[in-house]
Amino acid sequence: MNDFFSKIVELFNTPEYIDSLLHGFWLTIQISYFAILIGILLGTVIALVGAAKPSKWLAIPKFICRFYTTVIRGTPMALQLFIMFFVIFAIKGFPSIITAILAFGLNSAAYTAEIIRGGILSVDKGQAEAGMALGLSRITIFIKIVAPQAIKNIIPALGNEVITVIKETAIVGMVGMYDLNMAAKDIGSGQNMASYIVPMFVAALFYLAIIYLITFAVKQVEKNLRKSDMKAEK
Amino acid sequence: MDSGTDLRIKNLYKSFGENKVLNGINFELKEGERVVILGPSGSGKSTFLRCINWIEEPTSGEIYLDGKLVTEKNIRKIRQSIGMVFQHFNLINNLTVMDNLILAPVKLKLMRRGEAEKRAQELLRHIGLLNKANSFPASLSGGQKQRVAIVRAMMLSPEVLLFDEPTSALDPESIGDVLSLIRELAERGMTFMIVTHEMNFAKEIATRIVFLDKGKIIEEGTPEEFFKHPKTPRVQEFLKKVL
Amino acid sequence: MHKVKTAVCFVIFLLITVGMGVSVFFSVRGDTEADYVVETNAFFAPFEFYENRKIVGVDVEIVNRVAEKMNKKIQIKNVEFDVIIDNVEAGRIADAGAAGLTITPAREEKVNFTIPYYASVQYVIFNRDAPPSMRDDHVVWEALTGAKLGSQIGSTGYIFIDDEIKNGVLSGTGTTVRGIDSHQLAADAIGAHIIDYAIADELAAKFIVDKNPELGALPLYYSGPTRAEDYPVEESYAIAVNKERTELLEVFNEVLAEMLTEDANGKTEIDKLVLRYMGLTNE
Repeated sequence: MNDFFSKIVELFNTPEYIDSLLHGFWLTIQISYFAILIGILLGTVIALVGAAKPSKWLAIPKFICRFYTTVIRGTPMALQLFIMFFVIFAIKGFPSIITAILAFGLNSAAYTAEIIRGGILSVDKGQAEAGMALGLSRITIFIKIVAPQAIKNIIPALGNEVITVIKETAIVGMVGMYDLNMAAKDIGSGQNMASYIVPMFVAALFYLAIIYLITFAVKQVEKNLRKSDMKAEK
Repeated sequence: MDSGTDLRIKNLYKSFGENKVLNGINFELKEGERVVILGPSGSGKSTFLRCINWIEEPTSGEIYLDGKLVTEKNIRKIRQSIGMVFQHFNLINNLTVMDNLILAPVKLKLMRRGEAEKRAQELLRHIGLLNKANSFPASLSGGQKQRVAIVRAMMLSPEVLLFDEPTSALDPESIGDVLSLIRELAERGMTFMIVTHEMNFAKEIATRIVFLDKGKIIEEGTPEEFFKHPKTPRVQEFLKKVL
Repeated sequence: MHKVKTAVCFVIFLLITVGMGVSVFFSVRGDTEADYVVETNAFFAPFEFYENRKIVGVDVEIVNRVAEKMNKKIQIKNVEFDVIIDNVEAGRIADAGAAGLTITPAREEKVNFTIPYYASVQYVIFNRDAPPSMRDDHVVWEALTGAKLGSQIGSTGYIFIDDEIKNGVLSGTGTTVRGIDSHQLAADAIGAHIIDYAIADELAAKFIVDKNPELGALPLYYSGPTRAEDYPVEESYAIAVNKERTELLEVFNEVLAEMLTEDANGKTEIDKLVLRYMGLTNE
């Protein structure tokens, strides 16, 4: 036990180690940020295509979206990453970070689409019916009535997805990218600390910190959105 | 003002998959009439009402408003002339009471925002809920919500009002307030169709009663005729149970 | 008020996104400028390892010399060890692999190897409290019977163990082997009681044991007819080059030949580099 704590102190007292962790952390953040962005944008498109009224123009796009979500959700992320790097983007000189962002982004889009679709479907039908009875257009009903209420349902689940993406990026070491997890491996390897346990523990603290921040932010947003649900008058 | 037939419904059929809910309804409504639709549950009363403004799309049949055939193309415009009040109020939860009232008139460019707000305030004052203008529906009681819903429908000055069991979801204390408001509209000459279980109110306010069973109108008549001298055995059975 | 808040949030969001985009752009430039790509697994000191996030080591020095000689840019990329040979064979994302790779017949079918530049021996890493039975200064395969073994997946250590379990001394003895991500992790696995012994290349084993006093390491030998005739599990390292990159192979061989010339004391440059990167000298 003493050994463990003394190794932690050693780690924090070595500027190169902290530097490595911070750099790895930064890569994790970069990949996560854009992956989540792509996930939300693309996921919204897929969700809207899936939730739209069936029409002959939409038959093929709807099928593609369903197929896409099924395949992505049905295969492990590690496998998808592998295929992106060694098959699809196996182009010399193609930047790894872009491939990684695309891999995690496309993956997140499938899950986000389900979250958004679920959020939209969970809005009480009567709300849209009221809009119809008033003669509003489908678009107005969606924008003014359904979407704001759907978002309230989507935000918590979306927060979970954000957290999942951040932690998922830890596998980029598989393709040699220097993220937070890889930094821990580096510090733990033979010619540095020669023990993974302590650096892994410290890296875990970094992950914990960023995820806690995000959880907190999401809760704030949720509280804000729920203002209109309060039964009592302020 | 052309005071011809307001609403004409021909051979209305509606099925949900295999389930045939409406089996050929023929119906006419003239300006100023107040029709109460009665019938056992599952007879298609709500579905009938909801087909009129195409919240449910009819499987076949024709609906004419002021001589115009209702189609997918013009339904939105027609809905501006038909107001609807729902059993579960359906006030838009993410909008304040005021926004609920002015959303449609402003979005449909029927009134400017200032105008709409003024009119909304008048109506709210009239029902004693002006102080709730900036509240959200969640902080209103059931009875308050329904009265706001009625006022919301009135903002567009519709020709016909459809009430789908307006008091079924209210506790007994609030029912009275809502019925008073409906009574007021009746006194002002509003044309409406109501689906309700409030028999006494039906007797009091209806100009005509329509009885639905298994998706067909099996008896029609004035309240006097209907309640005192029911013609069909099915209706007699029904009245025995509810009165 | 509500609209102002939303607008402000949106602007902040845009600024952050643009900022992150710029940082990603800068990190991308390194990838796109290389003429050749050499893959490695930077967890094998002293041949390749991370120092302040840069990959350094004996193999790196070799590659840099080659780049100089050819006047081309060579990018060294870190990947998982066991994909290197296949990537070099495919030639699409890698032209060569420098990772303390041992020459084996199976690998030779897929890639071309340079001349060997280092001879190594496999070692057994064990917990000092529970060592395998030893013969003086070494351990023979038989001593590992029935144990749970581990080695870096794809490494020759792993291949040797697998071989012995399937066809050799250890077959039918209930000995098992686990493929683990890296030598270091295999050593950690001993402490975590996941495996009993780890097999790793000599230098990797020495580094690990140096930093972990509770572990020990001894060379692994095949047993000969007499104890004196036991012989070590030996292997040679070389650089793997894609079969079509003959020009690259030539220059590597030239450079290695230079670096393997003995000086007045019988030491080659490779020897000196190994010692330097092990932190044992300042040359």
